[in-house]
Amino acid sequence: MGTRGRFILRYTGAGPPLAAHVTRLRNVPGTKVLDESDRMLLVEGDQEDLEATTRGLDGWVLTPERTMSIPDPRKKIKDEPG
Amino acid sequence: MAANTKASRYILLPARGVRAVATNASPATAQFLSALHKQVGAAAKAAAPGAPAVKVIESVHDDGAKLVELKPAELAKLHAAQPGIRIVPEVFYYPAIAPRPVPIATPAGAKGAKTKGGKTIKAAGIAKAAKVPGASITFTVASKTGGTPIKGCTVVAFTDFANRIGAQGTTNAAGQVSLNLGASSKKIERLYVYARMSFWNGLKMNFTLTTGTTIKLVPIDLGYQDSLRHFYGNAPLTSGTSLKVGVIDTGISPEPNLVIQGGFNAVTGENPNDFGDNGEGHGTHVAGIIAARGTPPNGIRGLAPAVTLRSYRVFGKNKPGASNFDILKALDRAVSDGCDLVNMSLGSQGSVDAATHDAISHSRASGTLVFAAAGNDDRLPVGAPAKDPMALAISALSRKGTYPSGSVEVGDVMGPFGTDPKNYITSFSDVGPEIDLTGPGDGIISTFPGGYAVMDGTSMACPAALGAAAQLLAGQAAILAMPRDQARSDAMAQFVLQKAKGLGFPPQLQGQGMLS
Repeated sequence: MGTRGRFILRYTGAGPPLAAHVTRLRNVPGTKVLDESDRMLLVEGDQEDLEATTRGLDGWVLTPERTMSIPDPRKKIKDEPG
Repeated sequence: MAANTKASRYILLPARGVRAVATNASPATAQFLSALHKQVGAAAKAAAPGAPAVKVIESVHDDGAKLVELKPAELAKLHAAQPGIRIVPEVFYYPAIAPRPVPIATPAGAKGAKTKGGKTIKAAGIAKAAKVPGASITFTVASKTGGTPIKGCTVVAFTDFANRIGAQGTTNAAGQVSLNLGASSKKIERLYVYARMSFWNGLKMNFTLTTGTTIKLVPIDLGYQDSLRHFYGNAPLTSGTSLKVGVIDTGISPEPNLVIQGGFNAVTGENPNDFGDNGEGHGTHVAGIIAARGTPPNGIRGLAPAVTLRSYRVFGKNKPGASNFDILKALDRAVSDGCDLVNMSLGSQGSVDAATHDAISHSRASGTLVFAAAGNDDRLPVGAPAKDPMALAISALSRKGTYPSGSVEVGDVMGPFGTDPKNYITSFSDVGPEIDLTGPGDGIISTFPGGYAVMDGTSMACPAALGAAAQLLAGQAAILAMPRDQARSDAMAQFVLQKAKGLGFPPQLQGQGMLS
């Protein structure tokens, strides 16, 4: 049992991904598909299970979901004066 | 910058995969890798016109990856000469031994606390000052013209700027804010006042703050020559014709100076057709730098007002960050919508993940060029996605005299200075060998939901560089008519990078320089 979390499954090959591959990824036990596009699935599931499945499918990569922000140059306090 | 004189090892690859074939590389890229193959073991030399001399240590195949040595200062030159080449630093991996936690500092008053001159040195972020009743300082923020109080300003007062010790608050409807600074009168090293819109943000340094003080902000004059207008003037309304530009950001608000010609909301769970600004205003400001069509002093003008502007929203409503999934979905969509140039004024420190790298590579393989903000972490290494070798990374340029005295931009001055000593790369800009171009990004006046605002950041420098690129590319019909593939995006990148002019800064700060 690995870490549960939200992951991106992205197809990096040429052309569209094989429908059979997408179906297999969708059906990894304990995996919930949160969103999708032509070349990607956003899923919530077990990292080890997803990695194991992805390894057997040519052209697919698994990446943890992360957030990016607007680069903010505003100065911020770290502490209050003593 | 002494480290720049020593050669380092890099791996040179095509945009995708490890061998240059028709589906992932242009003929020029394949030819360059092939020329390097013949240099294995030989002394350093240039393998193509404009490319720096490199020493080839190893070649996997005639058209495959090359392990080379070159000076970090010459990376931007290589990228400009061979934009279809992916340059990856050679990396060594080690056993992942967990780091041992070490104390950063000792809390004030604790046994063994460090002292200096008899006073306890308080550890930032560890010991909190006890709130002293009646020790708040209440003061007012108002317009320099007419004295109208300004509501909603974020006020940050530093008693010790180096250690970021201070207090912050927001002005109320009367323009007043109370800060608990531990005394009723306090010596302030720096006081920053950030207005949401309509005013220049203020900075006051080294003064004693007392209750009753009034801090005055300068209203925005749309005819003012900020750094964007100093370097680029006001573009003709036809500038940028035939280019389609996608802005991946907080969305774009339809303002009198802005025409949005479609878009997509990529935020999971939100209405895909709601690609207007999410309320933060950042995307609207970025879009105005590229494509605003106003005429000063009644409006403002971007660098390429004739581009077809499309909005791709990736920041949700009331959410601080954007998911990389949503960003990649937006980028894929911008590519399939036929955008020639895509602006990404967002990012984070850290590496580029495999999916993001593939999406940027996919855009390049589909004839689209991605511009990305280097990041605003006070000269830390370039962040992701800007550091991806297939994106153009943009640092922030500024110039003394292009903002009012007493504005926050005064605090962003940092050397080295350029050939023109008034020019400098801002103190907040991230820098490194991945920087391709620089653009004005400090004290920029642009569109904002409901009006205009001044913003600072590589977020502003990025659309400035993209807008200047759109101006230049609009005249290159032959490049724009190329099939939408890697060769097209390589040709666009090469043309743009070779039009840049150095301003006298080291390459890690300016890349190839500023487009002109």
